[in-house]
Amino acid sequence: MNAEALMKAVGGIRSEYVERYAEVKKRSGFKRYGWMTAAAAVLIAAFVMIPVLKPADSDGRKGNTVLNVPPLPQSGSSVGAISDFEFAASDYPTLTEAMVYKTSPAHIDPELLRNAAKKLGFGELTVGEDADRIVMRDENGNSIIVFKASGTVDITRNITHSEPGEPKADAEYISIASDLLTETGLLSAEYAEKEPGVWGNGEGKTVCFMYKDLDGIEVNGVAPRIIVDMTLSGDVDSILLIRRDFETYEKYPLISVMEAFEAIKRGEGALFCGEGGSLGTVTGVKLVYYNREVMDDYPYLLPVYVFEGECDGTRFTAVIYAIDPAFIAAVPGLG
Amino acid sequence: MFENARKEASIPVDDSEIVGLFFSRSEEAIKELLSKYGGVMTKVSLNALGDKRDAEECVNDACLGVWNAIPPKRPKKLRSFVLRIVRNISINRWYSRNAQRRGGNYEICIDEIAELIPSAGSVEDEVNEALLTKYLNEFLDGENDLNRLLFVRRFWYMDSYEDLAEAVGMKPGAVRTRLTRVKAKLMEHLKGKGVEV
Repeated sequence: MNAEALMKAVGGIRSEYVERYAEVKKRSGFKRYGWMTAAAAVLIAAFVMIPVLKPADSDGRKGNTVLNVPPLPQSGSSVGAISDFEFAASDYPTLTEAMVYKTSPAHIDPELLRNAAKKLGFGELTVGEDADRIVMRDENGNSIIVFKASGTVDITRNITHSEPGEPKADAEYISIASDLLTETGLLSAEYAEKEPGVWGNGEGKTVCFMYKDLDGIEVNGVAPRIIVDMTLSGDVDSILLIRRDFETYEKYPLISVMEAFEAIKRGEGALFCGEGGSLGTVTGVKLVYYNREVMDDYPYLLPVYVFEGECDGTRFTAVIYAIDPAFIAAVPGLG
Repeated sequence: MFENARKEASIPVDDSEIVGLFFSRSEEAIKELLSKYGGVMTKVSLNALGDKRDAEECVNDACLGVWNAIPPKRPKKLRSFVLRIVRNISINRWYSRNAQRRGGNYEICIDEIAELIPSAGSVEDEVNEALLTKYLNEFLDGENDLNRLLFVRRFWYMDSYEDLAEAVGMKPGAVRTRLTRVKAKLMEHLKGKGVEV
């Protein structure tokens, strides 16, 4: 093989890649000023910015840092394919930039968990530990499992299920869950702002406390949230704390909804549509913050576009990162 | 509703409409094609050849090529279809120039790749172009988005390092270093496939 043969072969690469990188938007890191102005600006910056200077990354990158994130999920059985899309949403987000939040290192408070165990009526706990988890159990079969990477806590009560009585009103289940979480110190302010959701879980009820909105944008995905499962009679049998703390990272430019729509049509992002079908019609688009990992670490809280619609009579959802793809590096196996 | 959404988002004429114009043999087709993709077509050709006048001629030839190809072809991805034509025409133009005035980024790209390949290769070493493209696609599939972007923009679009650096907000040196690593990985990938490099 020689160089010319390779260059010819490059000409034949997949159209998807030719399309995807056809437009690379210019990202002006700095405006050009006269050298006096620039020198003055450097001096001022040196005094003002010293406390917040951060080292350049390994590429010496200016402007936004490329975010190493896991590829969006390709969720097992719920992934289908749609051969064609139509856009029929009349109202959609128009933000041009949004803050990316960085997930703070997992914080595990043993004292908080010990107190919660006491309030929940657990006996003396024996503690075991492996590479990924800390497991605390009492002799009655109650347990607390802490996942070290994420700080997620799974509390399970070994309760005797009474005869299922008449279902209560959703507000009552919310009240039971709120009171218990407050009493045990497990309900922090970030999860108490929004009205919890209630749904059936087969034998009982689930009450879900979602994380507060950030910058007016809903926090969605799998984490962060607190999930309380209980019987129909209101006995709490498990609490799952998928708690995360976030700190502001950087503001990033967003692609437009229509650019995201084109990317969805090219097969990018994650599509959840059951069997799939021929024509998918997008009827709604929202911008949400998204964090999907429960037991593992997940580096950022990123804005994504969620497209919802119908395909051959069934609902579909498509999720795609809203950040300009130039700043996203999907790293398989991460997260 | 779609029409309203499109207007609000200032999206130009849809590709399928442009293809429709070619099918109806309307001269508006060329106008709309150039209006939508003329900039990037010129950029690809200019990158390859480094000469504005040659690039303009190649874009005109490409428009004629598209006119002759559609119909019967009905490309699903009009932009990449058109860009492939303009790229091929530009590369053919580059080969038709005499050796003294070849220039352009196409030459630089070839030299850059040649640095990684110790021998000039022989007829026996030649690997089927389609197979090589398949291996390239496999390689790109496994790379992260930034590496893919840099590789495709450098060797398909033949962007200069300065343009690439400005586009992705990195220093030219950092782009060069990153691409050197990507190229080295590519060579390993090709060797793993049994390609003589």
